[in-house]
Amino acid sequence: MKHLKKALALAALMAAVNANAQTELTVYTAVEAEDLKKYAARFNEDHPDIKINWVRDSTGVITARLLAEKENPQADVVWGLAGTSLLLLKNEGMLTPYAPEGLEKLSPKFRDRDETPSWVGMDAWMAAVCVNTIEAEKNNLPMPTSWQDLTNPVYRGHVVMPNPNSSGTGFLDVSAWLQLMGEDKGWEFMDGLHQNISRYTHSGSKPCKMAASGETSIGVSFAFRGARLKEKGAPLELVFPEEGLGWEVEATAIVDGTDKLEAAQTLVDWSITRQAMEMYNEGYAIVAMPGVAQPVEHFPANAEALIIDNDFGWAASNREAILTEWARRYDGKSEAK
Amino acid sequence: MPSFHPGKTFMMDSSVPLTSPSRRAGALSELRQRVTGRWLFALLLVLGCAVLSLLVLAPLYTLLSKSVENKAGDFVGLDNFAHYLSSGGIESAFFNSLWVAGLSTLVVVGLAFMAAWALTRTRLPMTGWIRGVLVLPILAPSLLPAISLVYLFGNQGVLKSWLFGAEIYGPIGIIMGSCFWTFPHALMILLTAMDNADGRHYEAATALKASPWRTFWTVTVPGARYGLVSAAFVVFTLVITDFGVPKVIGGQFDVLATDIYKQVIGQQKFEMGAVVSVLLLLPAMLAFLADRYVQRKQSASFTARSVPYRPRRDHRRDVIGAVMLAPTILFILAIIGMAVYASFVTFWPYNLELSLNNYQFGRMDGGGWGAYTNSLQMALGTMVIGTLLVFFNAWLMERTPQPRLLTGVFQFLSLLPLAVPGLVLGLSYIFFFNHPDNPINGIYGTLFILILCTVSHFYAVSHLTAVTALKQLDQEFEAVGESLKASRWRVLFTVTLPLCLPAILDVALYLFVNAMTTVSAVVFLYGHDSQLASVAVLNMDEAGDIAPAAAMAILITTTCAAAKLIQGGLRFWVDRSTRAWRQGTE
Amino acid sequence: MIQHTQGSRLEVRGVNKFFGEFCALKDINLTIEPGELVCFLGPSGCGKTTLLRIIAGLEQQSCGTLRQGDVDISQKPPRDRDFGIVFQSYALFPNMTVTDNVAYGLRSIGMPKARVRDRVDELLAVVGLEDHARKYPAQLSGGQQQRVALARALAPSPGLLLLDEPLSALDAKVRHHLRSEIRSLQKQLGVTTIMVTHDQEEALAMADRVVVMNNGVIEQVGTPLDIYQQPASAFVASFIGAMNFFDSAPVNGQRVRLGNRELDLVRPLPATPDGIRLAIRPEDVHLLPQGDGEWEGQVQAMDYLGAFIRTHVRLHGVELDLVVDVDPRSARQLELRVGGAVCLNLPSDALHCFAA
Repeated sequence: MKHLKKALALAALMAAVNANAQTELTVYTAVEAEDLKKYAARFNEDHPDIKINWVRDSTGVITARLLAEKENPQADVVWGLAGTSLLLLKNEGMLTPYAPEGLEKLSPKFRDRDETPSWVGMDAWMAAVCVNTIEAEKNNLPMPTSWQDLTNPVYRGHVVMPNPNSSGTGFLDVSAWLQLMGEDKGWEFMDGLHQNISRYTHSGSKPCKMAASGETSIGVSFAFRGARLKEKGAPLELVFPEEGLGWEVEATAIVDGTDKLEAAQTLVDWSITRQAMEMYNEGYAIVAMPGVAQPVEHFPANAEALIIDNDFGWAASNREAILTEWARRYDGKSEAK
Repeated sequence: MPSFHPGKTFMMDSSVPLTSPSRRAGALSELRQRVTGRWLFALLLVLGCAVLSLLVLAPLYTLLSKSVENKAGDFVGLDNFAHYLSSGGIESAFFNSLWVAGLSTLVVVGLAFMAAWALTRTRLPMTGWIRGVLVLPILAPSLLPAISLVYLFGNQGVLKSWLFGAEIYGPIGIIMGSCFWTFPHALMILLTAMDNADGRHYEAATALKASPWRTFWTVTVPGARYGLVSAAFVVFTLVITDFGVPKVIGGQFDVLATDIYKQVIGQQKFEMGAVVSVLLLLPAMLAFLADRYVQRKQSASFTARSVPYRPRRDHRRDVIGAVMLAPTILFILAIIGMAVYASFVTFWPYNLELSLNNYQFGRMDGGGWGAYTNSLQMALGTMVIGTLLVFFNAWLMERTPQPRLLTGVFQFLSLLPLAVPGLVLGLSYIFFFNHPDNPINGIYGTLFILILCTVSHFYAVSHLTAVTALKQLDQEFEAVGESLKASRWRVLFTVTLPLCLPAILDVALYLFVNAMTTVSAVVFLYGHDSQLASVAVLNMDEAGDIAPAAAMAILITTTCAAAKLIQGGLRFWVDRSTRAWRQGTE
Repeated sequence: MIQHTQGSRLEVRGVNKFFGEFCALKDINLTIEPGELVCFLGPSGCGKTTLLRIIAGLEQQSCGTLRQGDVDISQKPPRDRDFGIVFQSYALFPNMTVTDNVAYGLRSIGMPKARVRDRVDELLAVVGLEDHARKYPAQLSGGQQQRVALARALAPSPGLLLLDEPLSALDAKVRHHLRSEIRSLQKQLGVTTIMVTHDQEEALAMADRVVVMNNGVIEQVGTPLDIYQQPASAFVASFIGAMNFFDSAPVNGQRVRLGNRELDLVRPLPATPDGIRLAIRPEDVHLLPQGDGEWEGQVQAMDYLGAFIRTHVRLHGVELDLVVDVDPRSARQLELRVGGAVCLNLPSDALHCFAA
């Protein structure tokens, strides 16, 4: 009896200590679920007193949730969401600007341009073309090397890409082509590509998944997903078209109105440390801190050189017009082929 | 023949209190009597209306009102609608939705009617098992048929040649997928309509020398017509509001539901999403009104004097029944079987080695076993809270004195959720329940809000089931109870509840399985510690882990099947222990 | 020793009931004496069931008062009134045995278990269902279910018993049998009873008094004999039993014209500006051998109905069709046959006249 009482008292005490010591942060993210445990564990090596409660979903759903929760935000921090989405949140006044320690070490491309940035970058995910080698061989398809190659009539009906109206990845591709080739050439290219597209998907990773399972020969998607599928045994070849690749920064930000500002700042500080960058580098070829990135399997060694000089401001301000034009040209009528 | 015995001593016990007329009959007690008599129930139903308004109407308003606002929240009239309608491609989404939902409805109602006919008008063996197989689709998460359809009919599909070069991605896939998951809904409605056939009508037809074919068209079909209309309404509404199937397998084939997805998830334009939601409500509402109009003309065709129909032994008819059932059963088994197979395959289609690895959810992302336990808790909570709420409200509406206007309002509120896509409901819940001025915003992000949302999402069909069961009871039970000094409450607990037990079990199961499999609304509402298995299925599929996704889907299906078996066991037990008094009444 | 209960007296004063615009009951006034069995009789839709439900408190009257004994029950909910009720459907609780059904009302008022048991046994004995106590309603015949419903309604010894078409779901033989049983039981217990029926034969056979209703008003209240012999209106006359009607014109206060003849009446004519209608029951017409009667006619058709023959006669001169009931013996004596000629008298003491 006495022992029990003692044990109970001890347990209560420990619970109290724990409660005091641990700050819980609600972190919204679109980072792949399989990486979340790793991210939290690495962070807790340095900061065991902060517990991360993840809420993860795809980029679109998480962005919609954040915006819908605007009146009463639930997230303390967003860690791992597309820069375009964060720009939206920033414009809605939903982010607290914060200059984390070591900000100056980041490449200027990978941070909000404001003096006190609203978001800071982690890494870049970049476009890639997933080619199923078995299906390509079956269909006698040559391995494409450039975007222009994909307009070649041999690929007719063998290409799948995400619909930019549903998917951030899709928009990333479209905006990259327009920036690379200029508006007229860009649309001309897409007209040609459209002839070869067998379908547009609602999700950005789906084209690569379809290529992996042989549902299509070629999927325009992004490199991370392709690399992961390759690891799982998919007969994929990742092609990084030579003209240049669209890319998107994945970034971290503090949600305005958090009552755990200190812990949130600690997390953001840590998110741009060298350690964190090395961690990102395990899955991404390009990270926000120059000189850190080591080559990653399945990614090109010169990844950094391949990505275009993406003008996110231009992309954001022209998004509506681009999407409308895209829908006018390719939406709806495409199934009547 | 028993008779009265006038000579026998018949004691009239004068000490039995005849009534309890209040000797202090003041105005106060008069008021109390009236309140407890009639007003109490009206008040309770008003409360029921308030609860449903809170759970459905108010959240919907917060989202749908955005359809007449611009991004900044200023009122802009119908500008958004004009903008949306002028942006092209919209007509195609609208008409695509209509014809895909219409065709799916025709196919499903046709197949379900054939199946119901075979189950109720022939003497095929093993109908229990057949019924079990036919309701399997309702137990599976919506991604399961999508995975199976791709494995069956996709480019690498084993049955690809069956499509004669057409693609599964597009209307064919949407229709096949929609047919799969809506079939049990139609079947259950039609079975209810056809189980209670009056044998005398068939005897009359035989006596008039009608051929079986003529009997079918003049007796069977008219007898089931209300069921057919109801089934058509439910299937049409379910298909037109569902975005899961079109999103996963529809390719770029545009329908209204995926258009909401594009606007909200793809472009974060809530106001345009609201516009499409409003447009989507229109066909659903029209279907609803049409159904109500037809049902109003319905009168009970199965009266106390009817003789239950028992099919005669007729081998030819049994064969026809089997032929009618076979394609549906094969289709369902093929889909489920393919998903089971998919869950064991290492990497489809290039490494077909079988393994159990995909069932090690602890290693998977998306929540693993934790998500599964969350789902179980959520489903059980939905079942308990939902069944209580649904049944109590239906009881108030059907079995207590109520002003007509009130029951009309309540009926509308109960059926409204059927016309609301899950995605719209989920987002509405954020806007409403997460609002800082909402006094109960504390429930946001908890398991509880998932439960509330799921109860609302599946309220309509549960409500209809409960109302149907309550309507079948003798309308005078409460009156008799009153004359015997028993309150409506006592009649509820001693008569109504025991009599409705089978229907209550049905509602409970319906809520449980839907809570286990639902995705569209809850995807916006789960918190860091309330991740759900059905959402995990979606996330794993999204990450390319199709086999583990299939495995989790199979686990969910198995759980639902187990729930169904338990419910079946309970129903059997209820039937057995009540056989004596059901004898001759069913 | 049979101890009678004290049946209640019931007073209905100025009761009206509107459903929206529709007037279902119009200014109903009625007093029912203790121990009486009163039948509400009328075609469907006449308001009889509505009136019964208002008395039970299951419907609320739009205006008017109800008194049961010394108590104003106008505003009381059904539970606070004192009645037992049997519905056409019986509304037996199917999930309870006969015993539990009968005991239901006794348990509601918290009667001790032992007394409930005694009381149930007593009632089951009275309705002759001792051997079926443990059965469920579905295992009983319609007539047996009816008895259970009756026992259940009577168990708490109500001052008022309401029967809503209690016999109409039964087949003819059982119905006749139960009719007399209910009547004798009711007399024995002395419970004031109201029975709603659309079956005039039932009403005439069972009731102390009959309330004939039509279109929401009471047409006549009276003993079965009164109602039959002295119907207060053409409606009552036509609704109860068979009746021949002829249009006619008054000559003076006691005489009317029918065809080219004038008839003397025993009863005074109603004061009416319009024409009047004469009526006579088929059994009151005297058929006579040819040449003996005041009227001549031809037999059009004869229906053999067992105890009597319903004969359709067309009167010469006035072209009136008349129904006459004749006993078979007289028919033989008169040599009645279809197509044959016949003479008849319309006794003036059997003639009724109503405002047209």
